[in-house]
Amino acid sequence: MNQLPQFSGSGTPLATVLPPFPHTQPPVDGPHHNLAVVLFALVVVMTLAITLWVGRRGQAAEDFYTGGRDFGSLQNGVALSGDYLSAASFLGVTGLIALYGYDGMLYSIGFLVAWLIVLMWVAELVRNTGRYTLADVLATRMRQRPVRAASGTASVVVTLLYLIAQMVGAGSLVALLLGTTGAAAKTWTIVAVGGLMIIYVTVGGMRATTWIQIVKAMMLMTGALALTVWVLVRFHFDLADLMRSAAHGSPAGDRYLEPGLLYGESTTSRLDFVSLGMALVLGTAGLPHILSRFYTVPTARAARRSVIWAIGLVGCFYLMTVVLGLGATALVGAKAVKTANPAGNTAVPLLALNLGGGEGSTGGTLFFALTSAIAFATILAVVAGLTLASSVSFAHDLYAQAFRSRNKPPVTERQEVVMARVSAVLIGGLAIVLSLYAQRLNVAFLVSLAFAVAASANLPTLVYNLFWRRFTTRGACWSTYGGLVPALVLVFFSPVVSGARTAMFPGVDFHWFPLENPGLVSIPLGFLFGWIGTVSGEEKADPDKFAELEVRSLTGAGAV
Amino acid sequence: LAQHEVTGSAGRTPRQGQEYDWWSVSGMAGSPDTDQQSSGFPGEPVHELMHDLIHEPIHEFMHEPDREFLQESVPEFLDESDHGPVHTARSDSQLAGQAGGHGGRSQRTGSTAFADADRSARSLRLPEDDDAASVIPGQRPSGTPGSPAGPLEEQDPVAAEVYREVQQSPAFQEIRRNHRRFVFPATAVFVCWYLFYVTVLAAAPGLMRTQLAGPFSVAWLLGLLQFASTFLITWLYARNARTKRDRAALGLRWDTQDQLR
Repeated sequence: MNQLPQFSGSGTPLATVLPPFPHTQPPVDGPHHNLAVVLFALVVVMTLAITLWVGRRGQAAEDFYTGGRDFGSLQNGVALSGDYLSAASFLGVTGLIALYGYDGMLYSIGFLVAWLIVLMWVAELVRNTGRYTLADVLATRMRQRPVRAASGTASVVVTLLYLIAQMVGAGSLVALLLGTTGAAAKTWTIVAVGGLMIIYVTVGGMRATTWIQIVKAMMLMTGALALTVWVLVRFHFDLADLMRSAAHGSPAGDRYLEPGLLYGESTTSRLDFVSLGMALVLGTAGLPHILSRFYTVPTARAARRSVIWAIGLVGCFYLMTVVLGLGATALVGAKAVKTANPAGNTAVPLLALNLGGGEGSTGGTLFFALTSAIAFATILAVVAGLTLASSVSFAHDLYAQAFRSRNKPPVTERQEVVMARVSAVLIGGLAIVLSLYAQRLNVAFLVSLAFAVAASANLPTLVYNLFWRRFTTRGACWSTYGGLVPALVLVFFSPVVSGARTAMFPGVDFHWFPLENPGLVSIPLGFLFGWIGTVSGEEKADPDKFAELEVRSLTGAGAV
Repeated sequence: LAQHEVTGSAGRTPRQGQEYDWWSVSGMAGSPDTDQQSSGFPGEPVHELMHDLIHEPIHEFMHEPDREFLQESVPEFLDESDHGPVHTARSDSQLAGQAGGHGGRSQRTGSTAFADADRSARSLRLPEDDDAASVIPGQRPSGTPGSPAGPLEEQDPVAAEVYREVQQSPAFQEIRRNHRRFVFPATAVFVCWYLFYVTVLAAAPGLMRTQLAGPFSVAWLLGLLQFASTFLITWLYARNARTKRDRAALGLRWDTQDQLR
């Protein structure tokens, strides 16, 4: 999952998954950092080569937005898993399992279960009715301008939040992996990652982005599989031995293997977990960069098959994270993992270092660097996917429709694609600037907020639109804004912004909302506002347009 | 009305030596999504016409000045007597009696139908066209007819009529029922099962700690069962869609598109 999972209910030990960089101590030092730099450079060269190679093929809107819709379902399935599994899954979730044992696995399960909603409710229907974006699906039966303005705004907000989180995370992570300290290194990392993602997207469009995702996902799966098998070999494929050794390596002892280590201390923290879980499970189906993947395949059936591939890959990956997390605690020890990074983000590289022969050995150096390079490739691929989704929403929904004066002639396809490229530069630039200012912020809250906004604003609108005959344009706008605004407002008055030690503004306290994740309240509000907006309006839904939507969504008639 | 005939039964003809991929817009086998299900629909007429007609300048008809001409000819599209050789028997019978019913609503006509016509021009690509397109993707018809920014706000009354008829047809109702009959209960089951899991972890720590085999406790069993149930539901859904919906949906798709010409 492209996200930095975090759970820090009051009193929980885990403040952040990607905390402010620990200036005092780089985790490990030595020659493996030099090798890592070389491998990072290789990753950059390889991704740029892919971009230049495939980016030249086709310049139409169809090519830029969807890669020509001629990817196979396996290719798209791998790319979907690449979009979903970020460095935070590889490093963050594994670190959580390493530090908190059983409770870390709850993240893995939540992220996987979320895909069932994508599979059954979203993938085929969206592929059949839309063309490039989520708003296309709404515009099939609603008035164009208002729904495109609402849905386009929500999509840009979600991707921007997510993008900032990934980039700030990338800054800390790359610094961590390269063993550098200081603000300058992080700043330059953010600028470099931002610059690269702008190049990928403007030059290569969806085709290059998809190929980068595919290559990255294959690297990630191969790396995770190799490490998993290696851990299992070390324990002679005796899982009970692995679990016992992990419990032994953790200061919590046997409690490490039981639920409750990370959450479950107070009612608030349990509610917070439920809220986060809701946002993760429901938000995945509303993430613009996941939705836009369904347009890269020719048919709804291919979209379904790509989700099935993605579920298989994501499921296997999360099963492997369990072994890797336990292995890190068993072999490296929870204490060493925590010393290197309080949130456990370096658990996997440290595990690789240990498996390869330990500090100073050639094997250890090599595997540490390889793991770090995979994590870096993951970061690059994920930010590219996000930037693309964001610029498509901006150009196709906001610029070409919602904000276009009625007096002007309609935007041509060519202008729209030019605008998409320009907006990739603008959004990328904005993300770089915001990330530089956001470096001090708690990264994880941005991600959980992005999921909460996606779940509160996009999912209710999408589900109502596809399944509720009486849903109107007014209802669509109400449910989008009615999910978006409460999510943002509740976070502003939550402990992540003020009133807690780890807050954005630790000095002041104006929080009154007890939970860190707004999902528990804002998702039901999104559904509620959609209903109120529909039943309170004068406007009646057009049964003919709903007939068209139903027929198109289930049969694919008239699909692009 | 060349394009009318072209779009008649969009690309259902396997060319000699080619296996047709029924599931792919881009048509022929060799497209990435080909699989075991590429057998034909029994009893569909074969149209040799298509190969020649595909080279007709379809897009000429999409230009603005031609729209009015085509717009007026829309009722003819729906008059069965006019397109005997191209229409399938099935779609003809479904269409019977609808031709006259489009006068009620006042909206602009034509655009949606043309959009579909152009899309089907894509779906009509024959193998040789397909190859060409994959070499030089920029030159394919890029599927953005008429308005590049998306569907128009006003619905074509003829199209509305067709969609409403299809929506009320037993074939479509069957597809929808098969979809919902699986999706709704399956969603209820997995959501409840997930909530049960999360709740029972917090509510019954003693039970969760019960060891089954060595350090492997009830909690771990339930966790692994979550993985297993996700895979299982995915498989069941795929099977349900494959056996109960895909074939009917594809048939209905072409029929609907036929009627929209």
